[in-house]
Amino acid sequence: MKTAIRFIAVMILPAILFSCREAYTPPQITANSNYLVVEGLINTGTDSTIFKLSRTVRLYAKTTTQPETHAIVTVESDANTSYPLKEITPGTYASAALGLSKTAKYRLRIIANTNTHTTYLSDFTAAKDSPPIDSLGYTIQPNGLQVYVNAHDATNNTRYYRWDYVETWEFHPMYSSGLIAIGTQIVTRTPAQDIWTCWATAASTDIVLASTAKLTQDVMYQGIITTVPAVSEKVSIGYSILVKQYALTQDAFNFWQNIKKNTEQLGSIFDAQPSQIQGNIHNITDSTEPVFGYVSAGAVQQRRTTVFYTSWPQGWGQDKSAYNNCAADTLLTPADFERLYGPAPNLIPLYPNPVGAGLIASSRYCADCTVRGTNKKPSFWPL
Amino acid sequence: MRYFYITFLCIVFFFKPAFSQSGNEKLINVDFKQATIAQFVADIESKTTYHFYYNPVALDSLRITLQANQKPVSVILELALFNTGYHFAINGQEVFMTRGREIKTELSDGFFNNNKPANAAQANVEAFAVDDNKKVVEATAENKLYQIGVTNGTVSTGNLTLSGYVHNVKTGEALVGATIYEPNTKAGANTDPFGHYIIHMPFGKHTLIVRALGMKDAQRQVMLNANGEINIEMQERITTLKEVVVAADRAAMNVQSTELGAMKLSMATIKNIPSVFGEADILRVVLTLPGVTSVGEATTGFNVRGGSADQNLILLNDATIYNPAHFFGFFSAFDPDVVKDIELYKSSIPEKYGGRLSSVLDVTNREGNKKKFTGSAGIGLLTSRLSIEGPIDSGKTSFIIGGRTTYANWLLGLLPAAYKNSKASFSDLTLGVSSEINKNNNIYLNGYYSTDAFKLNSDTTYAYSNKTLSIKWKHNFNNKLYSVITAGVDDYQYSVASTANPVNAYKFQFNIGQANFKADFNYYANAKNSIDFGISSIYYKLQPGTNSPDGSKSLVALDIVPTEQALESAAYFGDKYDITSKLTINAGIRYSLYNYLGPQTINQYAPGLPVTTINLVDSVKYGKNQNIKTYGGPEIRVSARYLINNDLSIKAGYNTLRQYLHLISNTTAISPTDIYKLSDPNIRPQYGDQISLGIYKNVVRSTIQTSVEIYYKRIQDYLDYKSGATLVLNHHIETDVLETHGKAYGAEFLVKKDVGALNGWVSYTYSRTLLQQSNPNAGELINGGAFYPANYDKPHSFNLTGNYKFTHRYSFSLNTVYSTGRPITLPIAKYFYAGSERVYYSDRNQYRIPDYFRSDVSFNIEGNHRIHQLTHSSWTIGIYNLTGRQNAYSTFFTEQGGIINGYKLSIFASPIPFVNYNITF
Repeated sequence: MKTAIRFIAVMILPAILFSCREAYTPPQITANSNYLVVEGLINTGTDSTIFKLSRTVRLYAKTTTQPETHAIVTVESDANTSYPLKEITPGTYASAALGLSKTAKYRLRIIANTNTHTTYLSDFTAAKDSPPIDSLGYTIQPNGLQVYVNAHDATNNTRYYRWDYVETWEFHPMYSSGLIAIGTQIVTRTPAQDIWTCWATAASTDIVLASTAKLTQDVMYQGIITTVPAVSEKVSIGYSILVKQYALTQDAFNFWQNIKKNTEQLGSIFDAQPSQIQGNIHNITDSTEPVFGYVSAGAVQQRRTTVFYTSWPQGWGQDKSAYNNCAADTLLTPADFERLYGPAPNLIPLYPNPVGAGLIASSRYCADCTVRGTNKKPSFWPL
Repeated sequence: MRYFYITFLCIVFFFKPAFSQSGNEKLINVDFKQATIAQFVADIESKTTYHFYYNPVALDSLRITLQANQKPVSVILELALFNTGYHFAINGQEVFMTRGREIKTELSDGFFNNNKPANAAQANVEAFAVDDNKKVVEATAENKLYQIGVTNGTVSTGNLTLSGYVHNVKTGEALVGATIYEPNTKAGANTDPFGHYIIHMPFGKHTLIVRALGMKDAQRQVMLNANGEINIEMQERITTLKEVVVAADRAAMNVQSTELGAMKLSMATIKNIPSVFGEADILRVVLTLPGVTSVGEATTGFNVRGGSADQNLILLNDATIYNPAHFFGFFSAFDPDVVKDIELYKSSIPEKYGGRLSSVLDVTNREGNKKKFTGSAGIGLLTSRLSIEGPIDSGKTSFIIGGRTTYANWLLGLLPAAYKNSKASFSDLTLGVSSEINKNNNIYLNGYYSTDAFKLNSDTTYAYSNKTLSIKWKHNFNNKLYSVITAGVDDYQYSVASTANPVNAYKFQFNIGQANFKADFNYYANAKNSIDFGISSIYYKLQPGTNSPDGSKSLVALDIVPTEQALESAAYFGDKYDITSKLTINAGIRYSLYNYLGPQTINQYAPGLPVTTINLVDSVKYGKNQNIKTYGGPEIRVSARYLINNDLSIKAGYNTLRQYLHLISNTTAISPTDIYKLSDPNIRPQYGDQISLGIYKNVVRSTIQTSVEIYYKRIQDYLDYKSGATLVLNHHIETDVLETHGKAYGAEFLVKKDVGALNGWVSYTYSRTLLQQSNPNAGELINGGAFYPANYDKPHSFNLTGNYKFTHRYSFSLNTVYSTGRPITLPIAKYFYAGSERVYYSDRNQYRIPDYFRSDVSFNIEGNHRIHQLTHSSWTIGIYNLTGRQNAYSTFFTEQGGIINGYKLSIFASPIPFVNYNITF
């Protein structure tokens, strides 16, 4: 065999992208849907029961929520007791802890004000209490701080878990201000007037679900709640997370998983095709009308953990993208200050000009942390 | 009369001395007016001692008007037949009369140094015969007259059968699809997949024109005395090397065959078509054929005439390949250096195939070189390839082995951020051994192995693999009957594993295996009638899913969806019959029978109610090998061709098919981890039928083939899934799927030029594919029970695939694709829920992504063409997606930080240059 093989390895690496993802605006969709959306939990624990009612809006509507006001909302049990909820803010209906029995089944009745008093009813559902959160911990991953929960149910009944959470973190604005403008006077800022250290709070936007249905025991081991990116401002000084844990029925779990798939897990090559899944709420006269939401009943468990910068690698939390457009300018006299910006505190004096007359100032957004948070230390903040 | 110079003589002959120009020949008087041959012969026989031999049918149109006084019979015959196209020969007291061709009654001049006869018509009848061992004539020369058969002094009447093999003289490889054509009688034949042909011609001398892909046209002179065999060896077109082809083989077949919707492509053609990263990709080329669509760039899954991607039977040397893709589906898993050609059947599916509704893609590998060791190697951006072939013993047995492996990880770095930490590797190995035991028995052994492993930016690893092994025995019973017996095993498996969380560490495995046996027979009754028949049986063993704990800390419960077994058997019979010279019918019937076998537990649901767990009424256990459910029925395969003239024909066909194996997927593109499901008492087999009509016209001396085909197709019991369906590890999957039905129709226009410096094809297809789920008892209506377009419904599709050869060394290829964007489901409303905006989707597939357009170019450079050098090399340089159009693969809406945003995902969204270096040695 002639084996003199001359290999000439030529590898031209195409300096191009393999694929790309860009914004997409679909053709004008004119359908004007106006369907009822029901969000909340019939709380059989010691917390209040709160339901938020709204209507769907057009895809490109500016507002996302269109509250369903003046509805009559009641929780009903299969023992024929009913518990009315009161509208506390537009579209939000609530009641203090109802003291509901754990053995009964519950449903929600809604008589909507819009659309000629249509009645909506959810299916009866048994109360399913969440087991306690055994621990709420975190691991340091290369890409960020990963928060997890451990939980278990010795009776092997829970199986389907959902969590939501509220994050609080300490942060600084772009510029530190040692001065304060009182009228036209620029004076030194007192500790009580501090706008350098604040705490921001945000609720979860992702649906977090996990199941132990495929395990021999109902053990939730390091169920991942969220991963805070290493660059995020959330992990610059201190980070606290309050996790609420809900137990779901299998049916409810499927509902939540479907919304998650349809609105959070798309964009891969092997996408599941979007599909709609009906919740457990129906228009009693027209069962084909789409109604969004799933009414569950049960008690909630919650737990908080707080982490400080000493626990994560140096150099995390560098992201200042919130302050991308910030700049500090030199103003020559306090009179300039007022002439330019008036008495309203849209501009914050920072410090005297170190190289000449006047002072250095920046916009309120860039120097006042209270724009994005509060400078009152939260009660749970340990330090 | 002309003399024939015979330069070749077979081993044994018998020779009768000549009595030429005998002076004492009796002189007679004749007077014929429009006499028939019978009258003519009766008159002469009454006046002389001569006895006439002739075929009354062949001579029935002869009318003789002749007056002659005192002339010998030879002169009378000469006068009577002058310029009539009829001939005679005299041997002693015997006279032979023929039409169209003369009986050769003498050897070449000087062969015996005998007296040269003064008049050929009165020369001796010489009969030549091959020896009694019937050694097959090896015909290698163009100018020799090869004698076939023994005559014993009599002229055979009716048609005789000539058969044999056509081989590549250099490699000994059988040439498939070569045409053998006799221009005078218009007899023709094509070689079968083993290079074997059978042609029917009358007694006499013939000139056979032999054409084959990549071969020099050849010509053989034969003297057909009796049924016989002749093997023909053909020369390669050396000047163009093996890689470049001028294909003329099926030019006439386009018009002449009875097949509709069939298209064959050689690997040489495929290699000329630019492909992403320069790797010749069979499945991507299939996508350029009319009537074939796909959901997008990321998949090699193809949809034929409105069928789903799992409705294609993909055969590699008769072995079923369940997942013919590498690298998530971006590249096909066939080794371009080993594959010889592919054939796609879209409409007239031969009755020997079954088990899938839409199409059969038949991929055939080359046979190894039987004469010397050769090989080829290639380096591309994605893979490196090596193949070696050669003889094992003295020209009877050869092997070919080819392998590919990838170094594709660098590519993943170019993927979107979501795939940045991905890893992928794949390889495949192809093996073929072919052995000629003797002239009537050939054995072929084929093996294939492909493996893929990848990690998509998470700790979850995926792996899948195809394995096939088959053995094929071809046996010639005689000139008219041969059989091919094939036995093999095919296997596809995949696994998904994750060990990141020790408590949840799992390994999920899926496996489908089949053992198959089939016996195919081919019987050439006569030139007008050939018959195919056979039986086949496939035993399936499907393990739908096993989820097991991985590691000692894992609490994952062992979950095994019970193994399914089934037997799919079929018997078929097909007859191709020429009713007239213009009208040919190919009618076949296939009876398939399917048995779902135990052990199994079958859920029974309340009749008339939706199949849901709530309506489960009973579960019945069945024992091992117990027949649980039988499905089956006849499948009709009929097609007919009417030849309006030699360049124009119309064809019509109708076929029905049954599919017992389902692929259940809720992803748009076929994913490597979709699951298969065998039909069972709750899930019926799919059934489809198709009617098609075509008109075929060859122009410019058959160098340009054109065709228009229209079709209408119905699909029943195609499985769709319910919203929120669970498909993996589902112990009662019947509750999560829906039986839908569909219809597809379209028109395909094709212009194809196989020969010349400029070659390629242009196609335009208009097609629609609509599905419907309208049974309210099934539990869920899709789009309210109305018809909706399938994911791969692309009404307009245009393709231009062309290659222009500047010289033998340089050629340029262009590939242009346009199609309507595929249907998508878009959101029509949004709402706030669980901390974020959410969207509400419209009815399924009511909108479309933007239209698709792409152009690719490549430039092929062959090394120098000196034949006797160590290696031949070639380069392919090109650009994929020349215009850089960002064709949408999908659009999707996803929540980020509480806001819903719309995105368009494009794959290969900018011009991608590529280089490929190939070497043969």
